[in-house]
Amino acid sequence: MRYDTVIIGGGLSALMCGIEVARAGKKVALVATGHSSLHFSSCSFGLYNAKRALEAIAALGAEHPYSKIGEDNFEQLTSRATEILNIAGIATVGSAEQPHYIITPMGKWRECWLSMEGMLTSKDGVGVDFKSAAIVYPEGFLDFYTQFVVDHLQDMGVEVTTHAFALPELTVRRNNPTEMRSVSVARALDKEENIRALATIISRQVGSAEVVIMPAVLGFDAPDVRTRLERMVEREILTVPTLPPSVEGVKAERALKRAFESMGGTIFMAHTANSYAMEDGRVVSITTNKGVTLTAEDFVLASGSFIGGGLKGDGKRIDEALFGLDTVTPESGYTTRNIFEAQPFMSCGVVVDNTFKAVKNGVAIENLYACGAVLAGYNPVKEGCGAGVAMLSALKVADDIINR
Amino acid sequence: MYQYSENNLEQCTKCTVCTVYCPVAAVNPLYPGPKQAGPDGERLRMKSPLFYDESLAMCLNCKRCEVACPSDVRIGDIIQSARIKHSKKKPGLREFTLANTDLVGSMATLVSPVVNATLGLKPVRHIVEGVMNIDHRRIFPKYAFGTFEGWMRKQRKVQAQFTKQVAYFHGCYVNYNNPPLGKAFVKVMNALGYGVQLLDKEKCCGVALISNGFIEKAKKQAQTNINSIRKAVVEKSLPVVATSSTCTFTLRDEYEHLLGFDNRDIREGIDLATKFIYNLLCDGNHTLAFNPDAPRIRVAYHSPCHLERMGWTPYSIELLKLIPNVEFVKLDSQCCGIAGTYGFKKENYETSQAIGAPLFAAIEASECDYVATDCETCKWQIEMSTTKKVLHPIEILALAIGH
Amino acid sequence: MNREYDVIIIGGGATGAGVARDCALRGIKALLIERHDIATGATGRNHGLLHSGARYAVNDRESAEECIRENMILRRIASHCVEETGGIFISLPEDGLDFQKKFIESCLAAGISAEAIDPKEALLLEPSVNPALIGAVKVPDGSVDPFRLTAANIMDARLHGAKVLTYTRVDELIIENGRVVGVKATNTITGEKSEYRAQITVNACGIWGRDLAAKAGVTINMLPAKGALLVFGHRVNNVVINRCRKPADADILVPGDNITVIGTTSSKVPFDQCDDMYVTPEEVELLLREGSMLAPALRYTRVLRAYAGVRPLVASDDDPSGRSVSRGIVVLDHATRDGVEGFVTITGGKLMTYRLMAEWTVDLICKKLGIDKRCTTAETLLPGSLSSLEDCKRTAVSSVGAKSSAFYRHGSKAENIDSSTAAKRALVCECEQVSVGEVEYAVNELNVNNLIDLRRRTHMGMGTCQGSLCASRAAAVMAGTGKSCSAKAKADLQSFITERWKGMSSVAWGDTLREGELLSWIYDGVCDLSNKNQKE
Repeated sequence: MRYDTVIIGGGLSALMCGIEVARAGKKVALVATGHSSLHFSSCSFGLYNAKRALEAIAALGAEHPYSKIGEDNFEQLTSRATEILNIAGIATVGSAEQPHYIITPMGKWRECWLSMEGMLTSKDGVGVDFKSAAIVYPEGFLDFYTQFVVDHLQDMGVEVTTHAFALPELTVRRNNPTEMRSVSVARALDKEENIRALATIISRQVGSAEVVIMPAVLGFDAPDVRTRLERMVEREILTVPTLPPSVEGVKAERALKRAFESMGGTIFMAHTANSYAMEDGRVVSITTNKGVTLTAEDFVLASGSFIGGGLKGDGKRIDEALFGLDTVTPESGYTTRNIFEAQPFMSCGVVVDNTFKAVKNGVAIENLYACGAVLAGYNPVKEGCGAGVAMLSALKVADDIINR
Repeated sequence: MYQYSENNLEQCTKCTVCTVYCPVAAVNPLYPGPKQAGPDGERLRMKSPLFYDESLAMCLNCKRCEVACPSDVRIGDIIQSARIKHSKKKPGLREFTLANTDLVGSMATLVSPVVNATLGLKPVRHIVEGVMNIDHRRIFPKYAFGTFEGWMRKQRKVQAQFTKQVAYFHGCYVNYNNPPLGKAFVKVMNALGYGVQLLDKEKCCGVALISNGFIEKAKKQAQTNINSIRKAVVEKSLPVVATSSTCTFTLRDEYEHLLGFDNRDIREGIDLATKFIYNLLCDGNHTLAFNPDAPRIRVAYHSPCHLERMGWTPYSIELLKLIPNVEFVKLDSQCCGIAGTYGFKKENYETSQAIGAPLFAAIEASECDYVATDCETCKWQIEMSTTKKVLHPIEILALAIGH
Repeated sequence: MNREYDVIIIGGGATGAGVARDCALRGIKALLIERHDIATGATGRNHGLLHSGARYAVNDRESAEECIRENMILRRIASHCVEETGGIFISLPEDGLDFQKKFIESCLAAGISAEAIDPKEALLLEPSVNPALIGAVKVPDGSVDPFRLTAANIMDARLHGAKVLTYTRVDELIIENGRVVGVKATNTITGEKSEYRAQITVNACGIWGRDLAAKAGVTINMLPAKGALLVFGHRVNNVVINRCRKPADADILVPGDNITVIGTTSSKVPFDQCDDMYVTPEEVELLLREGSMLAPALRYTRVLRAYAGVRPLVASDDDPSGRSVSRGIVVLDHATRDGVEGFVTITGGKLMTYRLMAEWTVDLICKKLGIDKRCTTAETLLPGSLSSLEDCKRTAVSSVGAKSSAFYRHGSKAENIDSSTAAKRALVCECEQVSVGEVEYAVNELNVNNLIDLRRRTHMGMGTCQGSLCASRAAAVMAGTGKSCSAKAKADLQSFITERWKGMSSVAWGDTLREGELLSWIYDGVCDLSNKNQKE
């Protein structure tokens, strides 16, 4: 099949790039093996771990994707990323100039650039602007441990109470020993009668607490569950990420896909690109494991890192899985023995030139771009910049494709 | 330095993505879900078959878990294979009736007005529920008077006049319930310059036999089909084309993965009608004369589970988008809940309808004139559960080139 | 607290636990002291092979006879720790069949049933075996779970009055008039120091026994021999596969519970490495190369992790060079050997003979204490031991997987696991089917102090995900039992994840690397567990 642009990947970077290119009127196809890493994210987007992220970014080495994006482009790219999320219906708060902080499931502040509207955040990572809170959580939900959050809030001088709730639907569900997970709770809270029941419980139990804090399980298909609940209990409701699957991440991916499809984009789901054809130094087509050949003018590799299948490690080397692009593996091996140290494999990936064109055998391929987690030169976990690199590199690539 | 395993189970990282997309687990808390029933459970079953759990029968084999999986684990296949290997439950009369679509179909078509009338009667449906455990609320597909094969025999001479030929795997549904779809396919192919012929011998693809536990019979029928298809593809170099996405999927993938046949030599020769036709229209040598007077229709496309699993949904979508009088609407991809014979069983009725509910709501909200889909059982389910009429994309195409 | 005992046993491996149990069953008041958790040394770091003795039959008849006797005893007294898988010794073309003949003769002479079978039959019996085999011999090998075995011994010892202190370090031996009369010890969690006194102190410290003996001024010439092993992600084989040749590296493939283990290598290591073993890339390659000769699928199978243990080899007393080592059981009465009364060392031997080692040790203790009590450990069933998994299944009331797995791990004691409510039945670890009830049972009944202990008792975090999804749930459930506060729970979680990755990092390729990335994303990313930007 023939497209203007074919994007290999289906995650945040691929969708961001796809929406931007499709929005410019091009016929775009996206090829995804399965669902993306948004499913096990907190769905808050980091730009860089630093109080003044933009200044820290300016000081990064030449191989960092941010250096290739260029300091001058940050303002317009970050605001465009926010705009696209909004177009897709994903309401965020935060700005690139000033990071804010979200609370992790372990009760730690983590810097971020954009968080989903309604998440429990702090402006400075020191305190919050309420003095009392009630944590309301589904009884028997093991992927959210209230005490971690309680202790963290109490350390900041907040008065905290906790309240478990049960709903008949969830009680039935709990008979299945593996089904009391985030998505099941969220699905139950799609239903008006369950939202009302929860509102009654909250109103009856939380007393004078200024805010209500809940795990991020408020609605799966139904929109605005959190704000509807807020109106019913006449109080602000703030959410904290859970262990996977991430309901907010699932919703974000779905919203981005709808936006992409509504702009005419096509998604080849459950396809893994496993071969390609080149002519005169250009990629002509890729073929998937489902026997589908896709021809295009431009190709974008947004296939992710190891989980996404973009990169492979064999114990000694790290390779790019489809095109055999140039990659960098440290001589001293790509793992260290302490997982909480910066793992070298996290920074491994494909080499690109300054316009994010992928390099093979030392030569940049004219119509093959790479963006997102498949890129080398940064550590998404330690630098807290995974989402930032994913979105900004995608937009940089999209601009290059559109403007050529 | 190291090679990668062929054992598909090992690719599972336990990331939980599949659990989000299982339509059964979403509505039926008794089902352990794809991760537990699939790779997690299989790891235990490798230790001892005692770890097999009959609740695996609740899997409707939609393969949505496989589509969702970022690690390409064949979760649905693992579950179905475990059922085949370990299930102690013997299929009964109901399973026999539901599974033997061609045997029952060939009897019913002979006397279809009677069958349709009786199966339509409420008391009869209650008796069917009592005796067969088929839910009384379920509306049976109507049987046609006379089969598609019968019609095709009369067409033989006309079709032989075309130099280019395809072999059509029509499936039981076209043969017994909906010959007009087969006729629409013949019309479109003829308009593209292709004659249509039947396979030497076509048996039901066996999808219902597999899901109802008649594995030996499924294997027998599969062997007949493979022989016929091999004759067409290998000896006569004929492409074999099917309108039903589920038949196509079964012939191409389930024969190998669940029944253990080596069909590699013919697999690429089996194609889906929408894909085959879209590729023809894109090759620069084929065009269709669309009727400029065809009324403008709004069509909402529903992507069937097995088509999603094959990854060919974009072909049906792109083909519909090519039809000038069609205003295209894409419905969010989700299971309709019928899953072949699954939704017919009394114990599954509630689950089945609950799974489909969000889709039915989306269809009603879409304000479409027709729903389009490539799967016959999705059609039954949607027609029973919404106010809309469902057509195959090929039927919509045939209408657009009509005179 | 009463700090006077008849016997103090130092070391909580299988041997120490066995000695404690044997003492308790004979009415001897015993205290067991372990510096970490039970089964943390060589006990928990081997194949988990229930030797038939066939491996030793040709070269070491005595060990072979000991093995087959203990093998039959363990099947009876520890049935919930044992899987009666059977084993085969295969001959490959390069091995020839000469050894096989001698092998069968030696086995039969040692009382081990050994039956030559056709290669085709061997392939039917175990489809994963190398199809190039030219011969096979069936022997009564099996697998044994060393954690469960040690825990069951500890449990029985306590039931019969023994006291067990884990996370307690022996700082010094109290020596009065040339006699060991007790120990000074520190609780490593609370820092509390205590003295315990007994007429006899038993050194059951494995390789670390050299250091303990030195505290009594006694020299034991030990040679640490490192053995590295690999764990595969699922069961590759259901029958133990051995190579029918002179014992060599990496020639045993053992299925145990939900996984398969290949091992071992054998290399001398310095004493200072014994506390922190790391499997090298060369060892990994050797294990895979040799292992794939037994079962070719190993070349392609996902390796979950690598680990290594240290065998306490003891040099013969009359050969100070250390070249002549004994692999048999070594009981040293330091009174007769070194003139130090009240001090006994039990070492050498193997997991298979832990019970016999304990019997000999306690026989010596009885002699010294003037007690006339017969050993009954060979007849008395260990707690949890029961006739078969099928029997347990009949009582299964919740999900098949979780209930069966619990019976698998705890035998009849699984009945003590609360599964009366949905809350208790909820699964913490989905790979290994560990429920909330089982976690609580382990925490309350099985002397669990942290997540790593919990893993040894329940298998939590030992499955495919290596804790990615379940460790945080387990931490929460544990904290909920009141055993830890949230700060401790987080620190505990961090050390658990660190320990999991340590074993994965040596084999971090393919899907194991992907799993490692997920582990890192979740705990270092989403949870930001190592974040120090605030007070803890």
